[in-house]
Amino acid sequence: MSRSESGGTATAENSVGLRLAGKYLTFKLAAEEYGLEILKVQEIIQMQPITRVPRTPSFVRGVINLRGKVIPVIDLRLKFGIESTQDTERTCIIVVQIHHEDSVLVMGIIIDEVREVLDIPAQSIEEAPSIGSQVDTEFIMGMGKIGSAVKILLDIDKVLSVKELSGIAQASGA
Amino acid sequence: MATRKPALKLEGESEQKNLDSPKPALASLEDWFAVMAEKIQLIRQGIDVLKRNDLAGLVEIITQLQNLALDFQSHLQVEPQFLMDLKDQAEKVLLEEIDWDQGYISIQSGLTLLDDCLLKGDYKNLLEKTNGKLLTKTLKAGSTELHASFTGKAGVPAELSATEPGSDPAIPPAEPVPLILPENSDLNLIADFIAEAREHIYLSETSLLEVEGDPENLNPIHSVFRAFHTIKGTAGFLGLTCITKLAHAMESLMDKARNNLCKLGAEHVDLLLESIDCTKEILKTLETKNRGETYTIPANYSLLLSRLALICSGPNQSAAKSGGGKLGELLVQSGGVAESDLQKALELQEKGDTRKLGEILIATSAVSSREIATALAGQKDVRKNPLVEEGIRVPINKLDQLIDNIGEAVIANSMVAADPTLAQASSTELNRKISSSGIIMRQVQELSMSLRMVSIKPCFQKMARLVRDLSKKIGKDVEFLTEGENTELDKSVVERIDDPLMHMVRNALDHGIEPEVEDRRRAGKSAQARVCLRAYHKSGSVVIELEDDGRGLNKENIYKKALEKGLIDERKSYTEEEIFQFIFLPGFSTAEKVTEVSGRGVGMDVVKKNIHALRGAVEIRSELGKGSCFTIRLPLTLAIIQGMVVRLGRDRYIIPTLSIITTLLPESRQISTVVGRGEILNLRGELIPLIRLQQIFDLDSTRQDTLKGLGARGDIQSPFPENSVVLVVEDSQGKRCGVMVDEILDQQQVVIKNLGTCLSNNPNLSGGAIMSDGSISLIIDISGIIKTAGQLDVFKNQLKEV
Repeated sequence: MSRSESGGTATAENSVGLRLAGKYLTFKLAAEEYGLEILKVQEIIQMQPITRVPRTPSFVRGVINLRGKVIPVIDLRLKFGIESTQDTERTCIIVVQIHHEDSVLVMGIIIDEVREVLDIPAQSIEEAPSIGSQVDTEFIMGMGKIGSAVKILLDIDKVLSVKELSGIAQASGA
Repeated sequence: MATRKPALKLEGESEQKNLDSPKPALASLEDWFAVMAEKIQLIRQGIDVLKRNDLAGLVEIITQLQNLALDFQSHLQVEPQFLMDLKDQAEKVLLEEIDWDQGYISIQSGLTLLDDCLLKGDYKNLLEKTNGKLLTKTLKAGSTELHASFTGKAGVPAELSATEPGSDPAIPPAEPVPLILPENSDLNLIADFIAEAREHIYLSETSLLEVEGDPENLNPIHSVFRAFHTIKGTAGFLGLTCITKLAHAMESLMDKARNNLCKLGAEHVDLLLESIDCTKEILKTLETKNRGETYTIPANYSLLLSRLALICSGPNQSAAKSGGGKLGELLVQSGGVAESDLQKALELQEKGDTRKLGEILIATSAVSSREIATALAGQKDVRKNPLVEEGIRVPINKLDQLIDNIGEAVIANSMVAADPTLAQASSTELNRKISSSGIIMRQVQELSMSLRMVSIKPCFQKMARLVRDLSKKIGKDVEFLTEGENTELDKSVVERIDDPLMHMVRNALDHGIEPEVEDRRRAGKSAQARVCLRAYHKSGSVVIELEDDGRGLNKENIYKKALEKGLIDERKSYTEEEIFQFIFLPGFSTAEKVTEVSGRGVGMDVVKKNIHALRGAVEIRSELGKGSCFTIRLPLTLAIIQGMVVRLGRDRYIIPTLSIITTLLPESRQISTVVGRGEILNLRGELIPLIRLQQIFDLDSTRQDTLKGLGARGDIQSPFPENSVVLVVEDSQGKRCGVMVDEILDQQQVVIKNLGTCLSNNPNLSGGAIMSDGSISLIIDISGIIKTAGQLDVFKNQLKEV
């Protein structure tokens, strides 16, 4: 589709870039900025009262009512092992659709601040570094360089693996 | 469509020989085929809705066939002998040379075949077919065998030329057991077919039972015929040969029945029902299969086929006709012709006059042709339109989505109504508008809830079938009555009530009703036992009652048995109702001998568990020697429960009212701590374990407080928080437990929402409910809580031992 016609060398090492080029919703979490594939994002909603669910991993903040549907909400700070802070008026929930087996699950992730939608070309994307990150690199698809800033491109399917969410719920239940 | 060449009629003969190289390019051929397929479809639809003796409609169809034939001729430069034959066939029907139904079937199946080839793009085959001499021959035979060879092979038309026509239908084809779902089959179509076929099967089951009760009534016979006919047609179209064959065999039998050539007795109905079961089996297997995958057919398949064929090929036993009758008799009856004239005409016929009776009568001017026509019309039974309510099929998830959204709209509406700015506003106009929109919203919501409601009829029908089969098997004469079969309840409930009801009906027949007719006589009851199943609405729930006039439950026996098996406490005294409830205990069975039907003692506890899972309850009334009555009380829907809203720290939870026995404000002396075992509540002498929900839910974890309100921290360690409320709850096994909460806030009906894939396997919660302010409260699963609490205790004990 709109994958990087904006020039750039389509060399073998930049295959990651070609694969990942496209539109991203960027948001801020603690000091870093992250990017989410725009196709995975369903909507952005403001912070609202969350009903906590007992016996779930700490990063599961609870559930909210999204137009009659109950969806779980994940605190991305806690998920990434970043110290949690008080919610601000900029704190909001990005509702994402993640793929689990054959079905699509809808979940909310709490982030500090939504930034913008960016079109990141292939030549600006690099593979995720294997060391020196605060975040488990398994979640990271690649790094997008916009000017001097670096956006971490998240693989949201891996961040919010169902196995982990329900697995821990079960373990604590037993 | 682009390369339509002028028809070279003169060269027609030579063109025919050159079949393998059709003139037009294949690409355009494909388009053309699509157009033709559409036309054929139209004709087929026309035939489908054609009523018996609708001559104008028939003429219309003949014209269409003719046009189609011309189309084929001009485009393929092949004389479409096949189509012409179909047309001939239709004309013959018009001229009454062949029977209406016979013609109907052969034209329909011919078109199905053609359609099949077109859709598959099987051009070569099609060309052969349109010209096929062989088919012409078979068509001319004009028999139902043709129809067998047709539809039976519709899925594999290539073989057609080699086999059959007219071969003995009684010989079952050697069926390779694993069949392959054709590579090119459309799975969506198959899924639709399965759903549709199930409906037809259900209808025909009902009708067959009706036939058995009243063999003279032709309406149910017709409807069964139609059902099989449709199944056969669609299955043939989809290449599901095994279903086609079976449906065809059943259809043939029904065809004989409706033409009064054979009378449907119990053995016929038995056979047909067995065949239906077999079809169901095949459908079930198909449901999970993918393209190119193999599937097997039930073992009794070929046997059924040959049995059906055997019955079909048996001698025609003309049944006593109640309607219809011979033309002559009818004419005499209507006074159109004198008895003597009729006699004369009949004599003429016997002497070798090949003309029809009517023709002779007209020729001898004994009667006008108009009178003959009316009598002829009376001779045939008019095909009636089935009474079908018009409806559309909607996927259940769409419906649920709609219900969700409407629920949300109601909440949004009430939030607007409760908004403080509105209270300050002085405009009464605005308030009026809002309240009227609120009323409409509620109406819409009620309507939306009713969309999921279906009648309990299919379930009752299944029971009727069960009683019929079972009473024969165990040799008891049972009359089965149903009442209120149009009672509606939630679809999910109807689906899941089958199993428990089946168990109960079985028990009623096997244990409830006396094995010997003598026993019944002595008790002053009629020889024929009576089992009655009824359903009705009562105070917001659905009640299903199963009543029999059998022996009734023997209180002493049950008590003794339960004691023997060590299921109950000897020291306690039990009320009658409680003793009856023992039959629901696992491992309980009073039947002296285990029969094939029941008596293994696994039934009733499953019944109770299933009904509990539906949030229902079972009650038993019984009088020894008079009979018993099982009453199942079910919620109208699984989507709504009555719940107690409780507060736990700053959270709200909902406890289903159904599991709550009592609530109390315990004094501290009622509670004692057992070391390493937790707390015990003394409830009027009964000691029940006490559960602190905070502990179970681990709510004192270092979780960040995101909402205003008090944290629950610290409470846990205190000996017993003042003003705490204890709800005494009971799980489905009857295990009791005290659940401690901070406060009871409210009691209300809530709509249960699934927590979603990632959280729904939490055993302590059965879902979430959206409250009137739009927030979510979690619904507590009592059984899960009691189990978790047990595990916690064990855990603690283990710690102690280490």
